[in-house]
Amino acid sequence: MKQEENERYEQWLQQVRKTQPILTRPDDLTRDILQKVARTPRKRKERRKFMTWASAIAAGFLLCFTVYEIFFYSVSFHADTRNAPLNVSSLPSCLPEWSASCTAEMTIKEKGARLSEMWRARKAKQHEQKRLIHQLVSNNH
Amino acid sequence: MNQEQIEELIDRSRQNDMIAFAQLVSEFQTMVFRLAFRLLCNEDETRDMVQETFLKVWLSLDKYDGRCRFTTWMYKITCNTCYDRLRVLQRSPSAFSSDFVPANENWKSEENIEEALANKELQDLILRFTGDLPPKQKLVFTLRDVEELDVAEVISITGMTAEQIKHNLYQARKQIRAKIHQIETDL
Repeated sequence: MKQEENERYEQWLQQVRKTQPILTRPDDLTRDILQKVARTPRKRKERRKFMTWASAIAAGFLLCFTVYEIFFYSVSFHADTRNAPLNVSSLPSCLPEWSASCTAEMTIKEKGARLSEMWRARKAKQHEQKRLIHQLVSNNH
Repeated sequence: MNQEQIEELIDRSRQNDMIAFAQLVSEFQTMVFRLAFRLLCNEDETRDMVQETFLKVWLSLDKYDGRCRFTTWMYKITCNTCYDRLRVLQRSPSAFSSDFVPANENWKSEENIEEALANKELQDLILRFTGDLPPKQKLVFTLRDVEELDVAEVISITGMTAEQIKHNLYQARKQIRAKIHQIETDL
C-alpha cells in the first residue's frame, strides 16, 4: 500500500514537472508589461529618494540645534546677564509663581535642573504637611 | 542569451532604454509565467503577477549587483510577489477565481481555447494534491521538487535557512502523500 502511494506520488510529480504551462498571447503580455512600466517612471523613485535626503538633512539640523541649545549656548553667553531674574509682571497669569525663578537666559538643561529641584522641595513640603496632619489626628484620638 | 548580453540589456534598461527592457521581458516572461503559474494555478492571476513582477524588476534594476545570476534574482522577485498573493488568497479565497472563463474576445480562437484548456488541466493536476498547502510549504515544494533547484539556490531565493527549507519540504511532501492516500481510499 505504502509502495503504491509512493509510486502514485512519483507519477504525479513527474507529470507536474513535464507539463509546462502555456503562455497564451505572449505579445499581449509583453505589451501590457511595457505599458505598465511606461506609466511608472523611475523618476518617482528618485523623487522619493530626494524627499528622504531632505528629511534627513532637516532632522540633522534640528538635532544639531537641540544639542547646541543644551550644551553650548550657556558657554557663549555673558555671565553678567545670565542670572538676571525674569520680570514677573511680564509673565502670563496662567504660569505658576515658580516660573519666575527661571531666568530668561537659562539653558534647557539648567531650567530642567532648577524645576526638578523645586518639584522635589514642593513634594517634601507636602509630605511634611501630611505627616503633621496625620500626627494631629492621631493625637486627638 | 548569454550573461554578457543580459548584462548589456540590464545596463541599457537602467538608462531608461525601453527597447532593451522589452528584450529582457520577452526573454524571461515565459520563465516567470511558468513559475508563477505553478504557484498560483490560475492563468489570469498569473498574468497579473507576471506584470507585477516585471514592474518590480524595472523599479529595482539599480539594486541588481550581479552577485547572483539574473535568473535567480528574477526567481526571487517572482517568488516574493506570488508568495504575497498566495497569502492574500489564503485569507480570502473568494478573491480567487478557479473557473474557466474566457477573459476576452481573443480567447475565441481555437488555438487559444486549446491552450487555455491545457492550462486548466495542469491547474487541476497541481491543485488536486497541493490545494491545501500553506504558502510557505507550497513555495518550497515548487522550487525544490517541481523546478528542481538546489538548496543553495532556494536559500538565496526565499531567504530561509536550510533547516526551514528541509522542514517545509518534509511537511509539504507528507501532506501531499496524505492527500493521495485519502483520495485512493475514497476510490
